[in-house]
Amino acid sequence: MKMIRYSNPTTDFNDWDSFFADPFRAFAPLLAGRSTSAYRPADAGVEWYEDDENFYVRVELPGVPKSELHLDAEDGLVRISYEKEVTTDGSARRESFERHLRTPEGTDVAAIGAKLEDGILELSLPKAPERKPVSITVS
Amino acid sequence: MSENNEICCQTKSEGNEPAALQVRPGATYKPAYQSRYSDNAWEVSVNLPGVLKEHLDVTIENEILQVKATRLADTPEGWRPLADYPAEKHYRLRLDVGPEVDPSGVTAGLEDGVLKLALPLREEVKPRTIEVQ
Repeated sequence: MKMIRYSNPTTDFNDWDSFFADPFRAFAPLLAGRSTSAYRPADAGVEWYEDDENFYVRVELPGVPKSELHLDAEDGLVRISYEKEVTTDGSARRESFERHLRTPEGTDVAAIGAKLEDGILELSLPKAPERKPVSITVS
Repeated sequence: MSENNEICCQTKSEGNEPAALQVRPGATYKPAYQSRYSDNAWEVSVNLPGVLKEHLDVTIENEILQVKATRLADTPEGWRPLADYPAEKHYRLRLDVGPEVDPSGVTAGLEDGVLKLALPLREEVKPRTIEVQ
């Protein structure tokens, strides 16, 4: 069928610099067994923000329901994982992924907040007191 | 060819902030998608994280299925980006579905940032079992 589109070598290989910088890039779609467009670089879909109180990170997680998502935080690291049994055409298979985010130095790991909406996970990472801006009074 | 690039067009803001902290007004991406054939229909899932139903446009015309979507800028005031992110993300996907698909029977649903489309085949091209007399 015309629906399945395979990698077009002329578009995947015309940027030789990036091919050599990340040789697995060209093969990732094949390894993943998916359409070519499903491949994304490791930091794609992650955005970092901050204000005076918190760091914020938004991670794109399309198709992941809240009930299947697990978040664990430990020293300097947030682990995002997802595991689900998917049944297609009568055969069951396990779908999973795991992704680690390094938290900025001075994050108060115990107070991380999380929200998942429309396929975007939003974490708020409170800054430790020593990282917050302090106004200094001139005497 | 610009259509084949992950990011096919970008515009830069002209603020005076340092380049790394600028928020770009928008960029167009080809969304990730998966397709599979099941039960006399094509099932296509398109990843559109952060996109709301009202900012989604799905059309089928001349055997081309087109999905256009926008994730609007929604970062709360006071958030400072730590890198150069587009404020708005535009998605566009065009798929040649061929003459076998019945455009009037196409259904779509959006859940958890994934658009799920079912593209049934026309009655006349559906596989049939022929009974031997």
